[in-house]
Amino acid sequence: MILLDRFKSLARWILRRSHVEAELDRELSSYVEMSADSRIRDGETPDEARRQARMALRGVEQTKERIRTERWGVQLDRFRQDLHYGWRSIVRQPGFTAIIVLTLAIGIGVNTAIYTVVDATMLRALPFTEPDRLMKISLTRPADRGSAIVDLAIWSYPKYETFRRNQQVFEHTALYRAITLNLTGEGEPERLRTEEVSAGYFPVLGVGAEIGRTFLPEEDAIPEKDFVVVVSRDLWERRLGADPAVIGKTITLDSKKYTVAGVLPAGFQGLSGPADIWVPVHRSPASDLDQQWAHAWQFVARLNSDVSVEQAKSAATALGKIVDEAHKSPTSSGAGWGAKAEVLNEIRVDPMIRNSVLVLFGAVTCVLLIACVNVANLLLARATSRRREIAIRTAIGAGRARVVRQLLTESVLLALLGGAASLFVAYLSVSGLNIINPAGNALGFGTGPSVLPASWRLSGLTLLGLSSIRVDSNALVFTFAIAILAAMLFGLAPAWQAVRTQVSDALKKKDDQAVGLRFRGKAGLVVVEIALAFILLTGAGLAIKSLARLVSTPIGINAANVLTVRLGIPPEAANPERIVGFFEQLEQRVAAQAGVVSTSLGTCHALAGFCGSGIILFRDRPEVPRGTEPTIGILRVSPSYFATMETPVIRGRSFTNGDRRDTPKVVVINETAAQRYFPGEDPIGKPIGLGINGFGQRAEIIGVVADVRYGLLDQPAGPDAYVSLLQAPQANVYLFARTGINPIALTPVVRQQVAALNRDLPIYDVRTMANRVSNAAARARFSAILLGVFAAIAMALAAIGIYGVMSYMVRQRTREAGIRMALGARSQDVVWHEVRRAAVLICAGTLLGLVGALAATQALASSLYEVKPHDPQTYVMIAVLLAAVALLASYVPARRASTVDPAITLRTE
Amino acid sequence: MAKMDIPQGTLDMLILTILSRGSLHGYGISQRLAELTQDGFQVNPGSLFPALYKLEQDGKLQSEWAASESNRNAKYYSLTRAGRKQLERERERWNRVTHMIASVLEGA
Repeated sequence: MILLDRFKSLARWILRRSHVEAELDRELSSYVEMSADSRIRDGETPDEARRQARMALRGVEQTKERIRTERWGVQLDRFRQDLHYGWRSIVRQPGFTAIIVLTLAIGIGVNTAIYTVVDATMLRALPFTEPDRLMKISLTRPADRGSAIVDLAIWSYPKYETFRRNQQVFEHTALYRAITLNLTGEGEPERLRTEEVSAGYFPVLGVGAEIGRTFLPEEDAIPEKDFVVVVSRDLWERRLGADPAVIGKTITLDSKKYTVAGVLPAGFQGLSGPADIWVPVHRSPASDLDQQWAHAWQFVARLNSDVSVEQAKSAATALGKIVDEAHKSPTSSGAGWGAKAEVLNEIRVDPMIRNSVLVLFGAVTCVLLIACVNVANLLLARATSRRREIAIRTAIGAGRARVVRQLLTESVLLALLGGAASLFVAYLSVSGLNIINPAGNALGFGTGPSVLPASWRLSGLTLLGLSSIRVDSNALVFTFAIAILAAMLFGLAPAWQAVRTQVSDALKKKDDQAVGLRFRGKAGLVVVEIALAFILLTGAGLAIKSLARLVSTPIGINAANVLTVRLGIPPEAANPERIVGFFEQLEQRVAAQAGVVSTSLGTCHALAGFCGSGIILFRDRPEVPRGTEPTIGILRVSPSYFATMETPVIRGRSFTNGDRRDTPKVVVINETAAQRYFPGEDPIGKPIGLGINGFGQRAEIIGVVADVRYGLLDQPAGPDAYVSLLQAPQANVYLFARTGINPIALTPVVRQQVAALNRDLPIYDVRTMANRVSNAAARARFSAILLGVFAAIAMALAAIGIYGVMSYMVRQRTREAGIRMALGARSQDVVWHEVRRAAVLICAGTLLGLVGALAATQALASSLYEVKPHDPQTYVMIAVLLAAVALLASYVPARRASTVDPAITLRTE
Repeated sequence: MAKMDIPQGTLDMLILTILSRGSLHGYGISQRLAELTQDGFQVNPGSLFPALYKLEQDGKLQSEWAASESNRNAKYYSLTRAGRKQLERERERWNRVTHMIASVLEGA
């Protein structure tokens, strides 16, 4: 009630201010009339009575003012006045305002842009029901076989079942993994991005079908019984004619008929990234699902509403022991496997990505600070010429608080204008970001199980985040907050100066004279500005140098002019003999095409991230205990692979078409494997065993090839072993074609040749090898480009700042320069005099920046490749560059001072 | 009785008390106050009106324009429910204060 009254009163004040004022007038005059009436009754003359009555009011205006002061509407009124003054002074100097607004727009805009990245990847809630109750359950294995991978993360079906049967803390649990399936039937065959999930998956995420249903619990029970599929809204529109009656119809995936059960809402993206269709885990035969060592699935669960995260974590640890008991694995250390639960939201961002994004956030913060320093400098310069205005206002009764508040209001107004303009900058930047967006490159395709953009180390969740970068209401709120913060930062300087101003001084002296003293404050700002720019520039310099090293790293193949496409023969048609025949024919057909130099096949490509590995046994040495065998990367390639990739064979021979399934098994190893496992020996002819089908007992090393980096660009190759696809067939392969023409132009030809052999077999993930290699450096490039751009902005702003301050200082001392020149100083002397003063500031700023950079670049350390964060070369180059730019920025105004005619300068005083 | 300043902080209570008998305009309130204190308390409009506006703003008073007894147009103030409550509180507080002060004076 009371609150409502207050509110009504305030509203009345705001909305009907003139009305309230008029009422006040009426009331006071009515008082005077009544007072006068009663005095007349007491015998006074009317005139005297009225005079007395008015006297009692002690001046109507003062009374009114006191009443106004009593009301809290007055605060609002003052604010309006401040706004009015502020707006007037902003509009009065449009050029000045434009410079400030532009500077702020850049400073705030880049912050908003990077904020959108932070928001999308780290802050925004995952787009699932109650996302904070989602947990990721990982299988952990003890450090073993010299392997560093302790968090295996992925589960086999029997282990998952053991965990699920024994757990009570989760409401729903689910397995999922990304696979690809061939869609055939009407239209072109197409490789579909697929998530293979258990029935609990959609309840875990809290997502229902838009049409039809998702999977039923009974579809999670009997292998190979229910072939059902849930499709994305996009696929439904694209391939199924957006037919609402599609439920119950069948589509053909990998030569099997699947019944469409439902269509998901538009835009739904699962945990492993974008997908077209979802199929149940139990589509696989029992023989596959029973493999307790076939770790292939991710495990996600939804917490029971009455269970805390801590309880779930300790429950998962306990359940891990049960799983280990039920599925014992011999390890060298004797330590058991385990399980752990983590909140999905906390592990959603890859630490590498998080680090890159935070470094960028640090960089844009520097840019904003520099922008604020520039604006503060400009405002200070102007405040000096406004000293008299402010002094006069103080003299006629404006309190200091009032003056400060008015100046701050002005700053806030400027900042808000800058913030509004910054949205345009942010919008442009975000569009730009989406062009160089690392996810954009990785998203193309390639969410296959082994080639999940691991080269990128991007989890599906990070993809989910990166794909949703946009300027939204969160970003608007952020922009607004940053603008206000900036206003406080750059508005304080002039406000502080105003407070310290002595009224008498300001009134006595001419504008220009009072200012020499302000030099120290401005000089400090310039030093800070140079230091910040230095930090940013070194960061960018290091990142760029690291990128240059990264992209010039030899990876062991010649990636130019190679087309790569993927194809997978459905398991039904995949008997080893037919695969071999198919591949041989395909290779011959493609190799015979015009423009093709060489063709080969392989199960993996350079810089794929991870290509599969297995144990290696040395058959001419004593047997090692089980569980302690060393591991080696294993690649299956066709005989022409090394020729196509131009990877030199160093010793022995490569595979030939004569190495077949019925001939002795042969292996080619890389140099690293040769050095590690056969130091000082000739590996050729050595008998080994490999952890793949048919090679366990005995295979012979026939050759050594140069190292190829299959993992990450910044990691040297590990030991690798190659086997022939003709001896160890595999249904899912890449076809590589080295061409004499633009590789992509060959795509239709390859598609045609594949179709000629099998009409239902789609090719997919069509890219050049050069593009795959380039993607492997995408994150580094993303960071380096952005850091470079921000550093360039920072340097430009700093240069503008120095230029501004120097011009100002020089203008203040034109008179001094004039006198000096009148007394015989040469113009060079005058220039030198000014530039020397600037040089002192530049040196101080560089030194301060050096200290800052030495500390700040530590944050980059983990993402630098073959560059130390304290790389002296970079530091020296940056120092020279920055000093040159800063000196140039101060030389220009100094030069102008020396060209002024001394006679004119002296006369202006 | 000789004129006195109104004790600090009591003007609101006095206004509320006067208005608790019925609605009255500004001049009427100052007259009534003088009358009740035999001219001992005189409130000048420079204090009265700010207090009235403040009370109205705080929702303790409401006002409306009406013709006065001398047929002038005047703004009549009256208590709201919140005003009545405020008056009760102030009155009780005042009684306790005076009681305590009296105890001190007598006991000393």
